[in-house]
Amino acid sequence: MSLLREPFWREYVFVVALTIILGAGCAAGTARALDAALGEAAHSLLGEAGQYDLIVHVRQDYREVAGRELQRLLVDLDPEVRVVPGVIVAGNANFLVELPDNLLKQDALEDVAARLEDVPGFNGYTWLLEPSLSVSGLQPALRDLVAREAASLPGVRAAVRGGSSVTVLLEHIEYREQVAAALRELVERRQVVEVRLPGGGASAPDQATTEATDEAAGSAVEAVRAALAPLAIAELTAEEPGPGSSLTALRGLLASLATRVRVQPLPETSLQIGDRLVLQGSAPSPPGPGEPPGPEHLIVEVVGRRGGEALGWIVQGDAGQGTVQTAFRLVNGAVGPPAGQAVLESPRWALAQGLTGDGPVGQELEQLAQIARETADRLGDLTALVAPEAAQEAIEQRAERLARALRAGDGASAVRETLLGVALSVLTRKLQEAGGAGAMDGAGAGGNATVAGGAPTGGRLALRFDVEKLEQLRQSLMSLADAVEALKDGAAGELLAGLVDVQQLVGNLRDDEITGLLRLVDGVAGGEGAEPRLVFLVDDRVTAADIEEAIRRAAGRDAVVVAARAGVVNPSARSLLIELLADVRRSIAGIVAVLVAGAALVLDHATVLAALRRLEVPPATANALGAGLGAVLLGGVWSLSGAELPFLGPAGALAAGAALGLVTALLADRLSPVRVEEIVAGQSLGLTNGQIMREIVVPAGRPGLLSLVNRWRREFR
Amino acid sequence: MLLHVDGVHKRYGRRVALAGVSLTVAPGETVALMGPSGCGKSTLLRCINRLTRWDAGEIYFDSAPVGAMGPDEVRRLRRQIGFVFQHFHLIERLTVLDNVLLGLVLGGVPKEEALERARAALARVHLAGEERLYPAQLSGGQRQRVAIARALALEPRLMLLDEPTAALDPILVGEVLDVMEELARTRSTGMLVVTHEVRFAMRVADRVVLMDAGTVVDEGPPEEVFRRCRSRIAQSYARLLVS
Repeated sequence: MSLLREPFWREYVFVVALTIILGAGCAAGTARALDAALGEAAHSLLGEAGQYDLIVHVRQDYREVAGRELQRLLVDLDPEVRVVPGVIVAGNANFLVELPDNLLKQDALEDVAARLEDVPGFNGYTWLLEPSLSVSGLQPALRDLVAREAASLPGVRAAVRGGSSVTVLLEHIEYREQVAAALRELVERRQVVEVRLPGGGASAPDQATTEATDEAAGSAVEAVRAALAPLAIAELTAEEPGPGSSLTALRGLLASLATRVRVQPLPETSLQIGDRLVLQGSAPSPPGPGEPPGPEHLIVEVVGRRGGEALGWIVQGDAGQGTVQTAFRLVNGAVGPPAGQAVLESPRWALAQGLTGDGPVGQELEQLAQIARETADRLGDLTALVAPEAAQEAIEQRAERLARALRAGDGASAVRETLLGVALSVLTRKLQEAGGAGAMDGAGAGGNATVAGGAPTGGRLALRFDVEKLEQLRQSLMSLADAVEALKDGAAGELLAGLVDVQQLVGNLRDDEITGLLRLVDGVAGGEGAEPRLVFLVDDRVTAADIEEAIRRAAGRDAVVVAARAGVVNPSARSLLIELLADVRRSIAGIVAVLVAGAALVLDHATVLAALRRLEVPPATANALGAGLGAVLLGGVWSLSGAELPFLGPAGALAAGAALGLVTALLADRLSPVRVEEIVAGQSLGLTNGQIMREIVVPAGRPGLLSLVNRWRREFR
Repeated sequence: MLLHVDGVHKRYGRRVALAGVSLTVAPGETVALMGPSGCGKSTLLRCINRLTRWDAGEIYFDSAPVGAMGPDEVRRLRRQIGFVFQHFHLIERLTVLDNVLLGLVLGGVPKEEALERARAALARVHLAGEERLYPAQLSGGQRQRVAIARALALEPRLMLLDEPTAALDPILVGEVLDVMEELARTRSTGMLVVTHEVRFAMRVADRVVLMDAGTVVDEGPPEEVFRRCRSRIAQSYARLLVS
């Protein structure tokens, strides 16, 4: 305290305080300036709070036409809809949409979202509804549950589904906390648990085996349901059919097209699942024992047994019209001894014959059309297979629109286009996933690259699936969809045309391709058809181990249990942006605070710390003073400016400041060298330390706040 | 007695700088402190001015023990003891006049009086016309004379001069010695001069004190010390004198 008797040291304390105040002002000002600039950008992007309800993203090159079409589509819905062009960001042109009050209802909002699909270059949308909350990261079935429950909460005006999230529009801002708490109770304190039952059934090629498998799997499923009933809040599997149902339908479609192979083994010959057999196929001569099978030979893989017969899939070649042939074993890549007589029945051949008048149109066609209808109806669910990113909303909405169109029976061409788009998108994506790293190289619609993926069920067949096959599937689905539409319209002419198309296009599919598709479907669904899956909503206190144990006790078998948090409740998009801006502001303030403290230490205080060592102050005292000074400077600027950096709170700022100060003290002689002989001269003249600092040391030091303040009080300028 | 150094000891780590040095300086007396480099002469001067603390013994200035002085007393002591350094120690950013004024003004002397005393001091060292120049614009001899003027302006009772000509070009040594000789002849202030200039000591000093290895080995009037040559150091200086 004796130091403070000297004016210089009092002013020094004043300079430290002034540094803190100015530094905090500088840090906060810089942060606020940036905040204002970013806020201006946000304003141009999103408009005023509550001004717009929706932002539609379209590809930049579609901006003009998209704007016109968006206007037309939405004004058609309600003349009071207002569409305003927004800024272009990262290749996306944005349109801000203001909806009239009568459209701020759940159905209307979802209809608006569905219409956006038809905007050229459409690339997604973001709800700006205010006041609102959003629940993101939802499992598809839970999303609908959350939407329903959220819509029934007091203060909720609408709960709009979109992708894997639900946007909850509130009646008034004052409901926000209450609704957020209710939603958190629903999702954040719960978890979605998926139970898979491996080995639920084989990949059965025909109806009878499938039914047997389904029966066994069904009892296991019921056992699991019973076991988990006490633990589960709700079963989401039952709420809405998951993607498995749609894939089952798709799988059924493919299975109905596949040639059925039944092999009657020779006496004392046993055929096991996985065995491979060689048949003559369309080759001019039967397979020769000891030789490798030729390209025209058929290779059949045994996938099941019924009675004394083995059931198989053709994994190489095409059966054509079907026949009875001798089956030889395939042993180490070569044709082995005869194993039995194979009967091949091709439903496609029968269908084609029936349509051309050589056979009855009959039951198979009807069944095929039925399967196609089911497939189409469930295509909406297919999209649930896709990762729930916002980018996938387009596919989903397209699918929903398709489902609506099918139910309403309108727009045949739009239906077909949508159906094909969804199917192709989903399958392409799942192919990419199934193919794994490096498996797919640009397998777009026009690409020539191939996808290689192991056959998931058998695991022994290296399946190569190229874009042409995808196109064939697309063609088949197209014709089937046409057939469905024709059936729905009851137009005989269209029905006939559709059936002819089906006959032509179905005829283009080969048996080995169908087998590849079947295995692909099984594989992408993780054993779809073979692995029953159940999805439950449980309390977050229930662990996966609890569930596994319950299943083991009740069903006597192991299950794969995957648990994940049900979802996350977020503020609205605008609130998120505001929070983000606040984070940026605090971070900028933090960075500026560190810079200010560092600059002050180097420019002002390094000089003083260096001089103190020459004024008989012990080095340890000078270092401690430096550390304290740094802590006070950074801590002060930090707290006054409201700064915040990740992993650096107020205590961290004090510590960081102390470290900065200590380093400054240790390096003071290098950062701001002082002339020792001048200090000694001052001492020899009887000057006080303060006088020496003011008249000799500080004027010779680096320019800073201290030298500025000191200049006014100096005797010798 | 103006200054009484009584058995002062000082060590720098293991090295003994002063080993029981005793000497006196009377008011107006000029004492030449001589000895080989590193014998402790400069350390003794710094101890007298309390720029360095010593380990044992005592130094009395005007009968007051310097070692017991508090900070304020030390500053008052320093204002009564002018110190001239070997390397001038001028404040580079200040003019010649401001360098001389610095101790006066900050020591509380009214500005007018300080200015008068500073100019008078500069006149005594023959630098009356150079007061607006900066140290960097001066020769070594002129710089040392400014340093002497700065010490003189305080009107000290004792001047400590630490080899004031050692850093000078031989051509410039004379002008500084002349100034010092003039000061000595006025007998206005006591002077303790560390020097190797034997002829200067013979001509100006009232007494010579010879030091070697931190102790005083001989002292007395210069003629007597260099004539009797009781020490190796005295013999060396005597040879220099003869040559």
